[in-house]
Amino acid sequence: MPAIRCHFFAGLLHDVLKPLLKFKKGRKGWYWLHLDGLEVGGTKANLEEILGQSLSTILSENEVKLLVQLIRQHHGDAVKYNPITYAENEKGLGIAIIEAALIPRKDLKDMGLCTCIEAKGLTHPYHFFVLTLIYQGIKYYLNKVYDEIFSSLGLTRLIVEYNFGSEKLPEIQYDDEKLSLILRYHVPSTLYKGLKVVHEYGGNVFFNIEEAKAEYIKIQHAWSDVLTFLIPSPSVDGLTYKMLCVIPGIIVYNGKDISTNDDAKRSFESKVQYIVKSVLAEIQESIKLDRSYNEVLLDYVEGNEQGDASCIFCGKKTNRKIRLSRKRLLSEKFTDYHRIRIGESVCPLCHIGFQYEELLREQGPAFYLSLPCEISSVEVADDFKQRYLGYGEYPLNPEEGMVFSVLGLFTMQLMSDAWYSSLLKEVNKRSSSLPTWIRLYTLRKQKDMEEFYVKFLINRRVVIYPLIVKIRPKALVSSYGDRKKKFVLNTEILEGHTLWRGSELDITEEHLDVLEPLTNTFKSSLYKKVYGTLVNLYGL
Amino acid sequence: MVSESNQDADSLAIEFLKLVNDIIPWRDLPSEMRQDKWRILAKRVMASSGDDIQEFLHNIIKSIAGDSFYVTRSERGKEEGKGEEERRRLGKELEEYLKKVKSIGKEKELIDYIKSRAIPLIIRLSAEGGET
Repeated sequence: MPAIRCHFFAGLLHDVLKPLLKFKKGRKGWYWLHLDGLEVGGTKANLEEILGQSLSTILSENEVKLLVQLIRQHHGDAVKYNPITYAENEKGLGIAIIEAALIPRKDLKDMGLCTCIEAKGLTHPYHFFVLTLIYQGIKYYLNKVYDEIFSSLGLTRLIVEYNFGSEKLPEIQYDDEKLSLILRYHVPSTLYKGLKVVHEYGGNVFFNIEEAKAEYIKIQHAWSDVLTFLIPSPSVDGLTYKMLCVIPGIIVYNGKDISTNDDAKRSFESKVQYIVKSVLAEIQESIKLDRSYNEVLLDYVEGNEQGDASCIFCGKKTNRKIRLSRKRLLSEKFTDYHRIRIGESVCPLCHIGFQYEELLREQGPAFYLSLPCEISSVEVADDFKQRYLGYGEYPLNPEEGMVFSVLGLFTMQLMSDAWYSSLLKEVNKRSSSLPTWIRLYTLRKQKDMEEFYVKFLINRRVVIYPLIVKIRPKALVSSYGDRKKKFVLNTEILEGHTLWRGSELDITEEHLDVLEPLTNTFKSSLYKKVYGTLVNLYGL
Repeated sequence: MVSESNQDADSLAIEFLKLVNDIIPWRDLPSEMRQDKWRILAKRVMASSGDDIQEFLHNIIKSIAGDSFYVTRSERGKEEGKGEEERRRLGKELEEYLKKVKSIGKEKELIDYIKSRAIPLIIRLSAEGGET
């Protein structure tokens, strides 16, 4: 275990000097310097000094030496003898590519990734709704699994602080009572001087913006927020969606060579399979169906249909007959007859989607699942550009597809989540029949609104220094209406220019662009009223 | 950020809505209308039309206030320390505005811009006047 712990912390800390953003131009292009010898404030960085003392309560002296050695050697041709390089490099697992590109060139199982579910033939919003519900449930339970594994290695909480201002070496603190690790980075930036951004990862947290002020932002993440992915992937069967998660403990390093731990892989995969089954059962139990879909639900998610009849919502083949009368499937308030087909059958996905929509609608507030946002523009911070004026160019060029190499899928999903969090607030009152991992939201009230949220809602700009990214958020939304509204089919994927539905008019990207000049001349006293007017005029 | 090509249309649109808002005699209208003035204005702007900007303006005002409108308006002096009231000659301002729009020559595009973005423009107008 101690050796594994040493490898684990080496992996976690191997890029500890990257936030200093030191680049050097070489013959083959730009190099991101992040190892020993890096000059910071007149002194040369020494990884042993930075890491040794802070990790001395969890690692022995020899283990710290091994950790530093692994970090120092994690580049170049070390793929055969360095576990960090093996994990990152395409000649090894190449797992880093999953963050950088949507479609990896390698087989996923050779990358240390486990495919929880491969969804095919999804055509109706209810299909995506059920898929994302499953994803949310799997993420929730996987987070507990990751937490158990990381806690056994000595880490229950990871806190990463980015302090913008002057250039300084990072500070690392390990608390051996709380098993928490704090990484305090000092990012050189004059433009954002004074800004502090804190990311907290752990086993008991959901993604949440805990505090948001102009100069201090604290964001909480679950481990599984950054270790599970739902990625679209083209195949011969059309567009499929793969739900993937990272398998921990797959690399075995004996001090010389690297091999893979098939037992750890099998054990993790069996846990995932158990979680998938549990989540499918939990979803069905919460809506109290008179007949279980346990046997066929996964088949339908994976694109297999059976039966001679066709579903009234999506047209998929099914053999499940249903009575549509108002006392059966359809509620007394149902009015959307023009949006369903003639027939009396329903497929498992639409049945569950429809019933869930009804259940959530009864709760009143909105339900949403964020999807990876699109990037509408990328700028590079001026102060960063100025540091490289002498070179005639700067290291990060938005024109060269760099966005994907910096912004991973999960980052884009979290950015969508952040945008919707600026408009919506989680509600605590909920039906006991809902699974614990379902979170319900309601529109923020004018009195609870903060200036930061109103600005972010309008300008949609996220600083991932040195990048300033303008996002086009996406989400799958169900149940906008409150319980008094008449029933309509209202589960849909919000994508493209429509960002939120209003009863008067939808909020679109174009409309928020028109509002943007306001954020530059905002009088602090007015932002709540601006938000109130926005809610009133759009009918949110 | 409003794109460069839209910047002219954007400032002309705000100027237009400011004039419309000033010309409408809100004070003489029923209190329910006054309380909901921004929503009413937004809806009327979206629902109105016109072959040119003058007709568009006329139709919006008529749909809200009928045949009554202000041609002058009192405003506090803008310079600090001056509590004096200024008389704005709305008729003259309107005439100058119409001349400016006609000289630019893209009235249809401007009408489309205002109608399609009525709500955010009106939110801005309300915030800029501190009146939300």
